[in-house]
Amino acid sequence: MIELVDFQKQYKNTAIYEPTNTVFPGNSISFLMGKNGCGKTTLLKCIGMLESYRGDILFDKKPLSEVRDQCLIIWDDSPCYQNLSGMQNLDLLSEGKFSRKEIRQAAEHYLEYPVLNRKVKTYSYGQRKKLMLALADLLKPAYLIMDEISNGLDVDMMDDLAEHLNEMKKNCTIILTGHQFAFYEKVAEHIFVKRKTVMTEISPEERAANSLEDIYHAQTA
Amino acid sequence: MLKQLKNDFRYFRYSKLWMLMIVLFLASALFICYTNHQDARMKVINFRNSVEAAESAGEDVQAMLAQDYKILSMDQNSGMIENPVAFYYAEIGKSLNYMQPSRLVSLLLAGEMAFIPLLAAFFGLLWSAVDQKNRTFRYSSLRFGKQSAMISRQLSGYLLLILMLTAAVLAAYGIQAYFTHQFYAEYPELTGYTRIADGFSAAAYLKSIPFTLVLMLLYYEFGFFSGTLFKHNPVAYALVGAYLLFVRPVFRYDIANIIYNFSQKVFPYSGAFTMQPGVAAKLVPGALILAVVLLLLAAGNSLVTQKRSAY
Repeated sequence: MIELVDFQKQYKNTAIYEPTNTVFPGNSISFLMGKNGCGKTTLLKCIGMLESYRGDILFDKKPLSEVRDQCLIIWDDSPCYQNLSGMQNLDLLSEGKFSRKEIRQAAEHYLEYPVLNRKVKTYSYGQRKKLMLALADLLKPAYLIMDEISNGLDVDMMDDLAEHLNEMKKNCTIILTGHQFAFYEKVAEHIFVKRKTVMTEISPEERAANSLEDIYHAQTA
Repeated sequence: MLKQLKNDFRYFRYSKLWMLMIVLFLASALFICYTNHQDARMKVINFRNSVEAAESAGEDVQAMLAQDYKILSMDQNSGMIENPVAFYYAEIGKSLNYMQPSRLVSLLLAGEMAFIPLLAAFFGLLWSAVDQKNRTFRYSSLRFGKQSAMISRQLSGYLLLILMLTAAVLAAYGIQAYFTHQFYAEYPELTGYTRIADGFSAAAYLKSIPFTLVLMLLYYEFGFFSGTLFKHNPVAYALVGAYLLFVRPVFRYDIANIIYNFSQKVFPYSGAFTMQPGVAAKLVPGALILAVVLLLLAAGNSLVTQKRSAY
């Protein structure tokens, strides 16, 4: 469970989030949607303490400093060391915890071995995303946050990822943001909509009765 | 912190950055050894020329060698010497002294005063820009905390610099041994030369090594801070390069002038390299200024990292 307690964020005089108390439940997948530039990624940065904010963000009642090694955020641009190979990136980003064999086993599910040995600067956007998914598989974080994860993935990989996320959530709190509703329909359980400075949780009844796209249009109109 | 340090070392190994830096350090060591070797050869040639001139003038060379010499005037390009035969003979003695392996560290570090500021600042720039350029600071920041990740990167870079300098000094032992061997092979008559005691003591290392490490830290921090401030913008490289290569000391307690003053105290400068004399400055205020600059750079790194939000 990730909990925002009196959470508030503003840039100079512009409020991005009015004070809010929100819970992203544990062992489930939460989906945060909203228009471009509404502050979805900003929230993820706050969760990772890359941005300053007011209030508290707690991970099963603990601050980030106590659970850092159980957190992983996969960013939309999937930043990697461009001058290194995929294998080297996985070794570095997993802090040398795994043998080369273990890394290869986890990563080959997403990328072929010759590709993993190529420098990341030769990768496509989708291949970089897959590399980050391999990292999530390796680290098995207790808190997994993914920013626009479906962007750039091929259809087969999206189906595979949906299945995989549904498996991972058994031991993990997952927060997703994005716009490809067809994909998120398959995985999202708790829906949050960011509109102006307010984040609203959609009730289970409303979620059950409407598609994500309908909810999005109704909430952001 | 230890985990992050290990990761930084791992990146250093994977990135091949170590190859570039080792090549630069070795090139500087090679240049210093070669220049000193050439300086020693030049002294032998000057001695031979002075002997030839004395003999052609009908003077008694052995008698001249037994007498003292006197420097009447001397600048960088020319000089007036009374009894040049004895002078150049003594100069050969100095060369043979500084070519001894036991002197190498001091000799090398004295020469490195010309290169360390540039190499350390350049490495600081490159090292601080790694996570900025790749936008991977977001990972290390999440896993270890912003400040901790930044401090670890600073520390790892400095430790790596020390390792590279040590490797260069060790390699220079081999290079110097080769040059010394070449020198004696070229001038076998010098094998039996009795070296003149010049008061050198290995205790000089107790001053020269810590001073070199502090100097390296100062310029590394300068490069690191510039890299942190300007991210991986080429402007940072241009500014740092221009400052280190072209800007001369402008006042008494200018950083470079303080370093000139310390260098004169710390190194014997018996080889081909000499430090520009600069303007005399007191060492205690100089040391305080260096310490304050170092602290300001470290605080600047911390502040910029903390305040910056766009990673």
